[in-house]
Amino acid sequence: MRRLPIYFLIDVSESMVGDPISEVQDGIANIIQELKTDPRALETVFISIIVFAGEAKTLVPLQDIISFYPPKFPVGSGTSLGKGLGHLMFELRKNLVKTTAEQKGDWKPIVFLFTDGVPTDDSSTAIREWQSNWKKTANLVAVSLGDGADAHILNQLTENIIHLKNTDHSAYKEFFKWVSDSIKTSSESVENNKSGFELANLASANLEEMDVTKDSRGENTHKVDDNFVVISALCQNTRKNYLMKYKKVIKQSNFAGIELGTKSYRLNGAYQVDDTYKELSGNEEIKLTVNTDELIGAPTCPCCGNQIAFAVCQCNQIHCIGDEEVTTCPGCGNRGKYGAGTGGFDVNRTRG
Amino acid sequence: MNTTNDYIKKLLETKKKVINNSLLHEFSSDETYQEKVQTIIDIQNEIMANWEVRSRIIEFKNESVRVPNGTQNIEYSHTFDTSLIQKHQIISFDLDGLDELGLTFDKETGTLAGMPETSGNFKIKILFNVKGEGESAEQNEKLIDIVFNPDPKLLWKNIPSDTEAIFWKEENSSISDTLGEKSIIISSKRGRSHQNDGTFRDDDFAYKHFDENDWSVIAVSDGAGSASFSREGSKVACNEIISYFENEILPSKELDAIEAQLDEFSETKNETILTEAENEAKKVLYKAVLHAHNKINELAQQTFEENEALFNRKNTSYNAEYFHATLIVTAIKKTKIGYVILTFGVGDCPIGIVNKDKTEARLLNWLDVGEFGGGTRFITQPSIFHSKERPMVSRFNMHIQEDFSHLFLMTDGIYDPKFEVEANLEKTEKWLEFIDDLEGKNEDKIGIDFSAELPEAEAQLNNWMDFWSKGNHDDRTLAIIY
Repeated sequence: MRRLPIYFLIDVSESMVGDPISEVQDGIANIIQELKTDPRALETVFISIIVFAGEAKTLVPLQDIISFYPPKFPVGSGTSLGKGLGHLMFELRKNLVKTTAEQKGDWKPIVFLFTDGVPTDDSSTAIREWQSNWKKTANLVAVSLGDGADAHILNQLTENIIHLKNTDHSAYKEFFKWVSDSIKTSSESVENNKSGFELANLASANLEEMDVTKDSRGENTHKVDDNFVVISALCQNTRKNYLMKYKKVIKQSNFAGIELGTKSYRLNGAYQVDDTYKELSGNEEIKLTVNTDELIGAPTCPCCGNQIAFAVCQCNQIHCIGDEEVTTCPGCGNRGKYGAGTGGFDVNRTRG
Repeated sequence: MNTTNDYIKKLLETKKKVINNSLLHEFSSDETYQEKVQTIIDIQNEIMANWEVRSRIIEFKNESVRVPNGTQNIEYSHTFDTSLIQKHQIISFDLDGLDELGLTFDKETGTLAGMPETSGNFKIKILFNVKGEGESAEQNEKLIDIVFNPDPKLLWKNIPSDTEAIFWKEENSSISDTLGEKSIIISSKRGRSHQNDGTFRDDDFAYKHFDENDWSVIAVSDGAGSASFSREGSKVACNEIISYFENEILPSKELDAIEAQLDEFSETKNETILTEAENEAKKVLYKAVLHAHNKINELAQQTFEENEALFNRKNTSYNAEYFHATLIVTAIKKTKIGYVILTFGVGDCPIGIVNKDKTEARLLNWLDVGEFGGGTRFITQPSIFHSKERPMVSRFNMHIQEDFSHLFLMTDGIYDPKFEVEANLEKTEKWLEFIDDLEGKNEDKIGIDFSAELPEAEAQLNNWMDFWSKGNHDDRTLAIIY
């Protein structure tokens, strides 16, 4: 029997924290459930999930649908597409069965790359390797979740670039239905000895092929994803990591007859993350800041419930404070009293 | 006394007070302060204990607890790992939400078991208490996923094909007959993937025993899944081979001449005569194959003229592409030197023979197998007639064998699940295993009694053809001469 390997290469950078990651998590579970209703797919499709942020990691090694158990998606800092691709190619090399006289090889693997942001590393080496070694051996579909992805870079990997315009629940649902349909169509066409790769029709208004004529957004090697501001913090009490996520809003204002757009970031939520956060985050030092004046709203600590999740120690560590009189910074151990700050100040942000 | 002293000292230090030792001594000796300090310490311990309890609960809630996937209608059993219970200092552990799933949980053994009645992803609730929680404490809850897979065999539908459609074909077909001293049974069945979609059987076969000179001709063909009229291509290919033998080859007595040469060889052992006979035999078979090719072309042209709208696929260069089909042919006769078996093959369907003692098996044709699936060749392709890499002449073969136990012609619907790869077709033991399988050495214990009356053997073959093989649901055609 020939296997049809399907790889999901999923961006789990901090901007995905909260709703997007749980949509993807549920979406993958739904894909599996949907494929289970198709006897052909149930017997031939094999699934693997690779996640990448600053680092990449195999979340689910290649396995058949019958053994698949829905995984919990982690998040990390950064969007290292290069490392993600590198890890994907490593997995492909390791798992792909080639046809010889002694064994029946796999069908051409299909890779779904989901990303919501701009790579924060220099991906060019990995992209070149993909182009020369894998572009013909595997079918890659790149999916931009929202408007953040860089179509120019994705276009170097594949002609199939899909843009999920809305990122609300129903749009995600429709999108994952489309992914399941594409996999089903593929598993049918391999049976019929066709070329083995056909995407389902893009019938939804939320999905469209992406315009790749837009210019790349600069060639800096250390980029920051500007659609979200994500701030990483430590809980004073539990010493666990949590993330505070702010979404960009452009507020139109009219000043003396001149149209002005003011950029600010509105609170999207605060989320506790587990130890995989450190594992998936790149460890290079970065100095990116955002002024607190641009941030609207402040959450409570998602780990211990402290009322103020946004306090900054002199070591730049952000942590939570409660109504205790003396606060200990969970980063440097400094003890001190906090007063309310006035005016904006710069805090470290992550790369998203 | 000491505790009180230490505590007050620590307190003063925290408050950044200058410590007066004699005053500290006075405070520490005072019973009221000793009691108060004790009360403070007790309260602190209580807070700490509660803190620990809350942390344990949170830690366990964040722990990933996995249970293995089950299958609908197959007994499920899973025993929870006790190390997890110990690690999180859990003192009571129970499950809820099992009734609808058809499962029960045995608290004594920690075993979750039962018969899942439906398939899907479900949640079950873990109810637990951790060390430090009182006996009357409310149970904490944690949801985990449990997955029951559907039984794949129940998912395949069997939708009849449209009998009104152009080139409709019977879904299953079988025959049994005698071929001189031998018997033949053939069965051809629509594959599950076609049943599931309500599409047609693409395989076909034809055979004939010519009483007047005792030759038998058997043809088997597999229509390409991607070609829309391949079901007709395979049918025409098989039928035209038979009719060309009947209408051209036999009346012209060409085979008689070859047989005479073989008789001469059996007496003189003159290899030149044998080679001559072989060349002549290949030429005869070539004419039949070319005839079949031309007939499909004619049909394609005619169909195109009548139904142009149906020829709407992109990237096609000639009409016969819509009729793509593989073809294997065997012409066989018992002569003085033994059985003469002429074969032709294009595509990926094997012809195999097993000797009388069942000690040696041979593959009589080579297979067109591409690097990727679908790399096969078809009788409909003009290019096979003048390919340099795969010369047409190499597709023909003459094989002489004193006697044989079984001669097989099959499509890839049989070869894929039973031999898996090309290399296995060269292995005698694989063919012997295949015969064992046919005789009932398989999971379902369904087999053919080759000594049974023909109609019964045919029915048994039809029954055997329904074997289950994961991922192999193509049309199946098998011809056995024995």
